[in-house]
Amino acid sequence: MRARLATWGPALVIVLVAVLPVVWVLKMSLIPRRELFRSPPTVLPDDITLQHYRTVFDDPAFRQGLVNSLIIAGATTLLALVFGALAAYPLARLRFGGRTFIMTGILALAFFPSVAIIAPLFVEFRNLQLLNSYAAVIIVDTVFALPLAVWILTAFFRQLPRDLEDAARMDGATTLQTFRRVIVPIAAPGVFTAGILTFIFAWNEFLFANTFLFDESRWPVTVVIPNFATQYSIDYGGQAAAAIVVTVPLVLLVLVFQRRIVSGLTAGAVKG
Amino acid sequence: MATVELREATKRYRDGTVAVRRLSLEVRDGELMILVGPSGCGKTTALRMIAGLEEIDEGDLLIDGEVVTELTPKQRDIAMVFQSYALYPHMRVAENMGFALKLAGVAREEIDRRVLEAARVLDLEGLLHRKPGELSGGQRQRVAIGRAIVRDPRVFLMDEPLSNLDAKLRVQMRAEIAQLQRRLGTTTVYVTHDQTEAMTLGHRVAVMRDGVLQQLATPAELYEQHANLFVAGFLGSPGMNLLPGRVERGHLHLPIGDVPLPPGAGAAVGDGPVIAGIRPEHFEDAAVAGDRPGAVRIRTRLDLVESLGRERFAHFHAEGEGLDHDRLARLAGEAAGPRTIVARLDAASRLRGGEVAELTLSPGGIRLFDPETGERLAGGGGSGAGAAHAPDAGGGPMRLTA
Repeated sequence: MRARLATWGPALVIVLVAVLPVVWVLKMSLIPRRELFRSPPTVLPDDITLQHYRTVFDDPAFRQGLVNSLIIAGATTLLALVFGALAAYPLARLRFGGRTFIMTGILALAFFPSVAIIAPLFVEFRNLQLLNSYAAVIIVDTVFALPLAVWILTAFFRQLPRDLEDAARMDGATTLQTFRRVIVPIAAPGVFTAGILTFIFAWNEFLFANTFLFDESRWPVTVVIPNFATQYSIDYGGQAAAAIVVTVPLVLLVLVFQRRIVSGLTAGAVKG
Repeated sequence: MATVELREATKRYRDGTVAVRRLSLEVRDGELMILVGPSGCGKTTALRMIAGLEEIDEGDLLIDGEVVTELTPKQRDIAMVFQSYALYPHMRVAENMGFALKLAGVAREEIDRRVLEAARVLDLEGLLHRKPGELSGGQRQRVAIGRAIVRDPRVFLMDEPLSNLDAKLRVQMRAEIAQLQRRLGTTTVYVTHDQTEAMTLGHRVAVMRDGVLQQLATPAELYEQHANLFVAGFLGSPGMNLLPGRVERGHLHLPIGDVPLPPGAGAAVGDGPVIAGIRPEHFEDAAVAGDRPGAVRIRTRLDLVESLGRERFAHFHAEGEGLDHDRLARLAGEAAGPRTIVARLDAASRLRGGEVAELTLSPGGIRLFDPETGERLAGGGGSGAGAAHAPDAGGGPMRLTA
């Protein structure tokens, strides 16, 4: 019993700390406005209302924001996966000088504070006449998502049994045929993992979108939500509802693909 | 139909270690050749060199007398069965088996026909629509073999194909592979670390150690006429007992007693220190064996007797100094080790551990080895004739042909 508590105790604390704010926001999104401002606040809601959700969905800017987020995050994910996979495969399989240097360099890119490069990027995009376009945000998001994608995919490709590639070679496949017909299908769980993380990153991205997109009709939800503040004085309930709506697709994504990620398609490829 | 020949083939890894050193062997048309040896002996590397998965740094590979050293695996027309099976997990059995044909641009109907034919041979017809994950170990093994035979290649390569199966299935598949190979008549090179597989499957067996071929011979020759201590120690289970000895005037002095050498043999060896190898089956319980002509009697206290039903193994040890273990390990590999002498006794033997027993020893079964080089010395029972081996001065690389 004591041992079990020692195991579960810390886990419980971590889960509580992580989940509590989300639960609190969920509660905020469901209670009427007057209860929101009560002090001290209620722990359990007295009243439940869907008013805030109605407000949010009635707002055309928010609905357009969801569409924009989908476009930007979707395109970013696709690009990051294609380029990430093409980079990760040789990094995983070939032994060449400077491999470690490249891997570290790619990782270093992820540490780069985005704020630091936003001004030069702004100038660059203005020259390229990409300002106020999805392309600007998608390009930058892809660049910043690639390190993670490359690292995940490299790790994944590396643990795929080499025998499969050898078998494909014996069967007469070229390197590209092996990659496309054997490696990528088998690496699907890893590709999904990288894809989901990239999607979440791009979906949650705020800074670049807020900087490069002026036109409200192109804003992703992350940029739309803070603007509830100015539009409706500060609509905490609306913001909370919007936050929940924005989070749900991510939670669903992870839940839907969780089994695919975990189960792994490699079962049966090699012994055990 | 094809012959495969390696000529002085060497594989060096980047860090400078030599995985395979000047390996020369010729696989005859339709032959099943076994490469056997302890792990790390270079047998799998040698196989991969034939496959084209490893480059040959020096020397050549010939198929049907034609140099193919620089050709890709595809151009060599060789199929390989991998230890891990390496089935494509996302493809159904039929797709797995037909993948090579599909890549080669063979027509769909032709692929289907050949896959079905191979499936029939291997009893896989009912499984063609399953994925590898839905198959048992034995079934996966069949699919891996099926993938090789569908192509009707010039050569089959098999890399420890049975090592992932349980003992019972292994015996069964071993017999099936032997039958299949005989039926198809395809030249086959088969790698294993299992001496039983080597002895039962191989038409000829190549024993390797540290990247160097030790001996290439038929299983029977290998067991009786081993070229050196390593081969002798590697084959047989339990392994050959290795004892320090000294030859003096036609007699062999051993820690367990003195044994007369067959006439002439002593002279051939010459006086001096030797290592004597005695297989467990050359001992017998004197009470069971009675007086065999030429047999020598030895008295010893048994440490332990194990009964395996059909036979018994008696463990005992000899007084006096043993062999220099470092040197023995260098010469004999894993067979060396601080161990007792093992004798195989008839099931009728009533001997028990702790007793002082009288055993017989057939001098004809004793093999003598040079204590410095580990090479087999002539004489000491069984002549060296037929041993497919010519020792090289200095124990350097050997070129062996049977």
